[in-house]
Amino acid sequence: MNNESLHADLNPRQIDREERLIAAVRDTLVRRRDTLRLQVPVDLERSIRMALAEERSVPAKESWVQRAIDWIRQPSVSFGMAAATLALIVGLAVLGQRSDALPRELTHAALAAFPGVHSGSTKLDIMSSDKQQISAYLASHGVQHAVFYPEVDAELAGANVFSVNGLPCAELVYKKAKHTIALLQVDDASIDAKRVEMDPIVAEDVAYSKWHWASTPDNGTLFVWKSNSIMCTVVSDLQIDEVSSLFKLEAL
Amino acid sequence: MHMEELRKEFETEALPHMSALYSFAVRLTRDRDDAADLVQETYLKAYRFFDKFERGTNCKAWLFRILKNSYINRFRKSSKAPDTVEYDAIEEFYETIRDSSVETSVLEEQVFENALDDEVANAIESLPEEFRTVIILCDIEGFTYEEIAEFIDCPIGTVRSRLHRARKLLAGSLAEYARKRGFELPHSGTSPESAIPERSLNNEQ
Repeated sequence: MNNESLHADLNPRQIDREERLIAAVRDTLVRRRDTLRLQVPVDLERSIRMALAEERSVPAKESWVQRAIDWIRQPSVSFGMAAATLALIVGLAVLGQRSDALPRELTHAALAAFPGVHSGSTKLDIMSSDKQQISAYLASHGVQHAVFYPEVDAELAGANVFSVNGLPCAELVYKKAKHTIALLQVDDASIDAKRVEMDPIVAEDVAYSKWHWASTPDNGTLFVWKSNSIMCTVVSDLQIDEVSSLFKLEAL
Repeated sequence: MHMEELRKEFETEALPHMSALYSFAVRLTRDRDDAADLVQETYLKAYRFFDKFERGTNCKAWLFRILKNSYINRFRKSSKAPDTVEYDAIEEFYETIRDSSVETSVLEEQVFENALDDEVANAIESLPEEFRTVIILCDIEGFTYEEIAEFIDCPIGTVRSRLHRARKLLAGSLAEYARKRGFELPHSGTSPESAIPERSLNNEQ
């Protein structure tokens, strides 16, 4: 936006006066920057420094997600995984079907399912934007809970059924231009029964602050929350800000 | 990087921004206790993920982004509703000042220079969140338009127009404070007294 559009419909004298008023306001704020900025209370500063010191004194409480990401990043593992993936692709091509089994931990499962879905190498089990049709398909393939469809500013492309520790789990797949938002759902009862595991840090975040947000190593997003007794895990190649702007967070 | 080096770097890079974060958090949450929680959470997250911080980029902007994400996570749903203010009335009042025939070039500077710190703070506080955020980030915290655009996830043109409107609203509010303190203002418009929020008039801290 240029100055002309900011001063639309004003005569030259009004423009001149407006510019002086705006400049005077800006100068006032800049000049008073230090006094307008509230000082952090001493007890808060002390508390933060103590919390940081405590954080240093205990071994890092690394989440399972982080451990998985770090493990995958090791060169030998990356090479091994690349070889294994290639072998898997060849094997699946021969068998003409994909493996539906995912890791037992929820966020691991969602992260593991994502690359294939995003790249297109995992074909969607059902390609449809019709929620009723998708729900019917998922129910007929063993998903026992009512599927939750959040309000997302993206196109519903379809769904998959993956197996987590033998439990059929629904994954909804949304597309926003070339980006993918994959939402894996597991009902609360399956987590309570330990059929599907959950990273304790993620579980704590969801219980305490409703949502867990994390960045994936390739600058994507992992986003976990619970709606209607369904634990929902989103993985996307979009960044956190972008994902959060697509969801009506207040409605989740 | 070694843990000890990381710790020292964190203390040098991140801790000096504590007041800026706290000040912004107070204006975001409108509650000092919530703001304190938010800042503490921000620092703990920043410390845990400091190895992910891209060296050479703006650490303050990185901390502000973490704070904003934590705010979305924890506080947005329960945050205090902003005061209801008739912004149209303030803008109308501003227009009467802008359109006045007085040619004194120092008038605005005098009006704003004489404003009390509390008046300026209250005028900022009374802005709607979208305007308050850009004016604090730009004029008080000194972020660039690009950094603000990234922070609020909007095009730079939106940042410019929000800043312009925010400064106009502030000009109207500050002029009204000045009028109440007996400062002669060259306008003939109707005073938008009812448009200034009660908390601003009371000079409440």
